[in-house]
Amino acid sequence: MPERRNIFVLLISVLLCFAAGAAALFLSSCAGKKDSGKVIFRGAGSWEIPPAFHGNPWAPGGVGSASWYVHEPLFMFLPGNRQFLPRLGLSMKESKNHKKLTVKLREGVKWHDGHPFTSKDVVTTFIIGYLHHWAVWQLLEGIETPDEHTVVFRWKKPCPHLFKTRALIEKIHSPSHIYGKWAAPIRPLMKKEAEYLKFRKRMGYSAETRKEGAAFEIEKEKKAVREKLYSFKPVELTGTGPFKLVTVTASDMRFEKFAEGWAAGKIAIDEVQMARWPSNEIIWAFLIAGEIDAAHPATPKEVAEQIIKLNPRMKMVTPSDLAEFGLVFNLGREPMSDLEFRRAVATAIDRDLVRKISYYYGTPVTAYSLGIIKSQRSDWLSPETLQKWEKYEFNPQKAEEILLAAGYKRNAKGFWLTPEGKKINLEISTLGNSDFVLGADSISSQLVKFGIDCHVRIVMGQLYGTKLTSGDFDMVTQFLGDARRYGDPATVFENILGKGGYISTACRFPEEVKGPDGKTIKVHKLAKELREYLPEPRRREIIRTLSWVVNKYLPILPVYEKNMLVFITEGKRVSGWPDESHPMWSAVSTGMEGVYISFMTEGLLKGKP
Amino acid sequence: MIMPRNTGKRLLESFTIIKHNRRAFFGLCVLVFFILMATAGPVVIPLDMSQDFLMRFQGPSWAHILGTDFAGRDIFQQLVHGSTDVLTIAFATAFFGSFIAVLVGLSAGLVGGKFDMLMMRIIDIFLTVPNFPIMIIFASIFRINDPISFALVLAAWSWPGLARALRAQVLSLKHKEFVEVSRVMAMPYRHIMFKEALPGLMPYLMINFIDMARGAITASVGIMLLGLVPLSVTNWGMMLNFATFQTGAIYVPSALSYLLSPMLAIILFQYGLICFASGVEEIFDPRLRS
Repeated sequence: MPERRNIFVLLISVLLCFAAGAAALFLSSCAGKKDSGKVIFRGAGSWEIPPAFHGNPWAPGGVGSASWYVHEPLFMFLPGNRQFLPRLGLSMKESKNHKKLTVKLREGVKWHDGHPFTSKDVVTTFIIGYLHHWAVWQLLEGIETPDEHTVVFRWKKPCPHLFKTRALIEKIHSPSHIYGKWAAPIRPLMKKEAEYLKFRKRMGYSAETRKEGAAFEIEKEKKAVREKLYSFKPVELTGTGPFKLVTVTASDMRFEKFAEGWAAGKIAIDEVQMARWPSNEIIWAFLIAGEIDAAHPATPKEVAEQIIKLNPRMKMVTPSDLAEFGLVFNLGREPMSDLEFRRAVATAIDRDLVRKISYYYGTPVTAYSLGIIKSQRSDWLSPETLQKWEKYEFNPQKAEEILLAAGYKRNAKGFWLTPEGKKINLEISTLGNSDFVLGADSISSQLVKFGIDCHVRIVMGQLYGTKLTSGDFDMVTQFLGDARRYGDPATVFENILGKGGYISTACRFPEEVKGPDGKTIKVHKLAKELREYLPEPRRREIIRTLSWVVNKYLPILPVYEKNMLVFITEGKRVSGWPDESHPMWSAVSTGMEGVYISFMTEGLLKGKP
Repeated sequence: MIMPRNTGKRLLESFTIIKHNRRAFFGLCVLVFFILMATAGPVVIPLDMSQDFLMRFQGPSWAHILGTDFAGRDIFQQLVHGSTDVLTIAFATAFFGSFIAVLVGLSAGLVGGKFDMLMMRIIDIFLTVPNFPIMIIFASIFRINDPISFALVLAAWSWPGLARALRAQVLSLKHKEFVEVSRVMAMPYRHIMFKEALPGLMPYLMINFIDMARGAITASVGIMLLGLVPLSVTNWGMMLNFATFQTGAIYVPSALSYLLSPMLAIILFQYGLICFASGVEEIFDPRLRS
């Protein structure tokens, strides 16, 4: 009921702020009275409100933000120094042909219910992951367990960094003594499916048609296993992580240190309390009250300054989220299909102003449109290479010249008309997130000022994907160069230029384009090749070529590289936050809570001095 | 019941009644002010939506009498230009909603029988079907770009309650002498509905008209957030939403005027409508005149 939701827009927000403040004060007083001597860390997160909350990480709803405190991956990947930080895994070794990855597991690790953690638990998690289309299975042939503390990943082809990372950073959350009964029926299905795929590859389309029944049967059996698995909703949440979930309510979660955890000796935090994160305004209120030790809400400049001003113990760190925010153009629609028009639009927008207004703490991207995020640009493209490529710096005069040269003209009111004399009217579709909406509004205002009639339409999350894939838009705001979790350009180009990529499908990017030398560049093929194990020179060559394609043909226009804005309170309840240069901060895109947990397990975060 | 001989005399008489009711006169002044703002305002005060980062969240000054917003744009200009759409949507929604409600409620009450039953079921459907999923479907199918279509969408969900109430009122009026006489005289339904029954229901109708207009301003924000209509940052409701949620102005002392300006404009407009309604009641019901 939108009407009801907005009638008392201010009243609700003020009440919520009071409620958040009151809850914070209540938590504060409780902590003071009951937990004297305990070191408590306060964060914020989201989860299903009880009784909907359950302990099955596979079932719909999941376990929310509790996951990072309770579950652990084999390794934590730090894009900052491209190192793997041991968690449940101790060491790893790759075979010379990169088709085998052997991981030695930490010994003596226990699940929260007392069962020992073994290699069987890793296999169980990955087998159930197969049922959920985990991307790692595109290359993974199988997992072996030579002994209780060794896991061997066997790959179909030499494994690149991307897939190795995918395997190593997945959280191991399905103990075989609980989830083994669901993993068991999946094994024969995997074999059946592998045989079917081999057959299909060998016999071609006509055979596939004859075998359609087999594919249908496999899907039916998978669905049956999934349904049984989803109906399992335990009250307890079991993991190997450093904290045990004690209570869950509608407003907060409480965790206690797992005394038998492998890192218990290093962890100085006795308890974690998590406030519910319904929206950013509530978290701002918590931060203003100084009742949260760490949170990362997207925050406008003035609000961030106000939070810091009122909390002298608080500071901000802004590590990269390894993704760029910007516009996707629909190349399937007039006039966006005209490269000259896209060039003019790119030059008519003051991207730095958009950044300042919508997400001040982002890193400006003002010259090129490369796909590769700005912080990783120098790893792949030399300044000499970039110097030869076209820049799209803010220059309304140049934008006007581009349009005039392409046959566009202005009407009496100053608005641009197509070469056919039709008034241009564009729409920017955007999600309702504050940074997206403010960014879209800023771009729209600038285009209107330049003479391109433009307005913004908010699209609900449920309809956003359909809108993009159906091509029902002129421009959309979106995360573009998205290297989150893996820090690998292969995921960026798979998304922007790959066959079936989210953005390439949306913007209708062609399969082939002309290269700088007039030769055809097969972009889908190159994007696919980049996901495979390649010699470094070839990998660099492909990245350079695909970056050139993005910059030349402009399917996207990046505006800023998103930096997470993390507020941390030093010395109130906890202390020892490392400064921004610490490589652990670079893992924020894998999950912020994972970074906090790593600081704890490494013994960096301690009680107040 | 007032039955003036001609429209001019009727208007003058109505104005005199309102003039003698201080509250209603205040309401009238407020409404005239807002109507002037919505009609002449945009001609007199140009809208400059250029963004200036260094000027964001400025307090009131001679250059910007109500300060500036999150993008350094003048708030007063936005209020003036936003008033056109806000008032059009508010009044048009109230007009369409009331019109449908009168048509359905009065006809159902007067005709009765199976027609009444059918109308009641339609009303029940509109009252019980949650409008949120319907709006989502609307948003995925239709594109609405003008305030009148916008008002029609809002009105589509605001009439059933009033229609049901009007039907109940008509059922109680139905057996009054003046209606019975009209029936005996074989007057057409149109005459009975609009000339006999409707004037008696006018005070009630006016209050609901104002309520619908008020509701339309706040509902329009929801409709924009659903994506059914394009986002308008000069819409007062959306300005308030931006100040509270999107830009965090609620937490920034220097942004107080960005928060308060649209809020006060909405409050004043709604209070003006409520005050004016008390005068309208007196026009249609002489017993209320002091």
